[in-house]
Amino acid sequence: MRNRLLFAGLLVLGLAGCSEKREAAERREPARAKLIPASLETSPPASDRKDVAIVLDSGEDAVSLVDLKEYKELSKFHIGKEPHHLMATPDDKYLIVANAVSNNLVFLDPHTGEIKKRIEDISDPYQMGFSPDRKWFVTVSLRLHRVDIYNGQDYKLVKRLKVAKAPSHLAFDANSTTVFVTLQDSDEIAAIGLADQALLWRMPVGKTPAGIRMTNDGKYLLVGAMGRNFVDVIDWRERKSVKHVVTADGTHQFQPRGDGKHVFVSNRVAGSVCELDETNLTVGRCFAVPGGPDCMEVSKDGSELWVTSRWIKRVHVVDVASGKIKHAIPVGRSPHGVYFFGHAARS
Amino acid sequence: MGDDQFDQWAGWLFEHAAQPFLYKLGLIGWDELAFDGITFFLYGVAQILLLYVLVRPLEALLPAEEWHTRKDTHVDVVYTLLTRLGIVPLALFFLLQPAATLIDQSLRLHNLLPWGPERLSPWLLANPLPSFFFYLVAIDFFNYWRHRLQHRLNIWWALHSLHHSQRMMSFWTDDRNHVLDDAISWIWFALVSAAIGVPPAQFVWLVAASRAVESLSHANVRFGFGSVGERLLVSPKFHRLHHSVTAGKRGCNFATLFPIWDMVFRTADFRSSVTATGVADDQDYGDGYFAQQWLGFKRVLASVKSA
Repeated sequence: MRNRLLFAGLLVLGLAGCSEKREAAERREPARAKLIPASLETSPPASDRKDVAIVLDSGEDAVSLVDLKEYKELSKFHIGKEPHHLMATPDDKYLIVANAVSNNLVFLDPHTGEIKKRIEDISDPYQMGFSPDRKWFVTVSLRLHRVDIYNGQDYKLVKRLKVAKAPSHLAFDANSTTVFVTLQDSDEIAAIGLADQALLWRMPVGKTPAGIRMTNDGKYLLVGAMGRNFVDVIDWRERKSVKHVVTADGTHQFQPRGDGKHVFVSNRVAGSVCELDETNLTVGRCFAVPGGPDCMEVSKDGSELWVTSRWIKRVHVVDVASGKIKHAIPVGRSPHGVYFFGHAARS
Repeated sequence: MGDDQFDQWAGWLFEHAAQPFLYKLGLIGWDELAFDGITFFLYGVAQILLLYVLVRPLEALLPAEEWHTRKDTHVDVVYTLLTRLGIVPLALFFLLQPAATLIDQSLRLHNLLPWGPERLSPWLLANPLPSFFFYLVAIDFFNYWRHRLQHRLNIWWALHSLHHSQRMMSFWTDDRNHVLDDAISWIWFALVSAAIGVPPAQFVWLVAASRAVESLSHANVRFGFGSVGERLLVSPKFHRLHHSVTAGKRGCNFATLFPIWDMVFRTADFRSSVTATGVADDQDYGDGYFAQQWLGFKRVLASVKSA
């Protein structure tokens, strides 16, 4: 009998997620995020307070601080479980690191990488973004197929939405009415209304969509079809694909060059980065960046493109003028997000 | 070969062999999992080679039991390859991960997020070595109780007895388990991980450290670690008593890594006699991998019927 009880217990645990209580739980009082002040934090190794590049080593639960002039890792410190993406707060006061498995956000000094504070109980934040009006803070949980909408001021959960498979990246419209999310495993994008936090629509796009970006003129969404070799250009008002701009195999993520015209596109499988002209939606040159190029950052003067190479523990620095790699900087395992304060404009 | 060189090699292999293959199959969304799988596979290869180079000579020089042939150990090599090269873990992952995701989703909808010791002490987070040791000890504690249940519960013993049925116990025997036994252990580990929040980055090293000790503790060698060392880390002598015919289902020395659990819960036996290993019953456990798995299913069905 005891044996049966044990197996029954395991079965019950396995089926716990199927209960009809789910809907009721979604209507519950929103969770309050817990804030841990800086005084309780362990400081990272000193970086002499000079500006550094901040690289997330997803496979080591760590942050690498990289010297922007010497192009070498200055120090590394543990930050939380599975940090994947980072972004600056709208006021540029902090750099937020989202630790997916730790279920928290860590706020760093965007210049030096020093830990300032930590907000707990942010469920599985894989990717994140602020609406342009700063009213909403949205995270996606790739593993658990959820989109969480928080109050942009106090990070209090407003709504947790179940979406189709593997929400991956997100973008907002200029009026902060809608957040668009790529659904990597169902080959779709979803539009979610921010006012009532409800799913507005879904539409099919190129296979395994990853990065998503609103064009500067607000007309189109650019979607990186990682399972193919193109950027899917979506007229989001009409909900239709208007063009496939071919880049290279494994089209993944976007990073504006900062000139208001060009966007860099990383191609994970081909091992390259292409330059896309957003004004006429054509691809110009492409250059080789090995090791699974992923997230990118551009220097303020536009001369350098920094690219994380996921599979080979490197950040590559590309000379934008020539398209040649000028430095391959050793960092931790599976480098993902990259940032430095002196970056180019995000347009 | 340095750590960075190993990772560079793994990365190159993934980028030029596995990733294009996934892309062609339309499975590029699995690339990060596949990358971890390649790393797991290569660590497994390195681990098996190291074990063979380091432990096999010890079995030849200081055997606990003298054998004229090692033929009966060959099937355990199959188990080791299937497990340590990631084939069984991968199959279990795809079978059980959907349920694990459902549990995780459900808990989060009730605002129950996994706990981790770093929440209490950021110092643990900033210092991975003590954090690693904490998780190693914590997992070993739960493994001790899993192992006791494997012996205590008849249905589970019907599966686990396959592990004990080897009369030529060698360093290959550690992975000789029924696939259902592995599955339940995986569920157990997933629940423990959810409760204490095992960091994914430390997972590979936690598994590697555990398996190194476990392989050595199954080796056919006749030494222990001395009266003090014997009580700090599970030795071949300590674990051989656990596998002895006389201990059988009742069992003793259940700890995987740290005998402290057997000492605290009064299941330790530090006697030094070398005894024969195996299960003292008349059942046929089969000779080959598939026969042993099939007979395991039959034993568990019989056990359910008689419960």
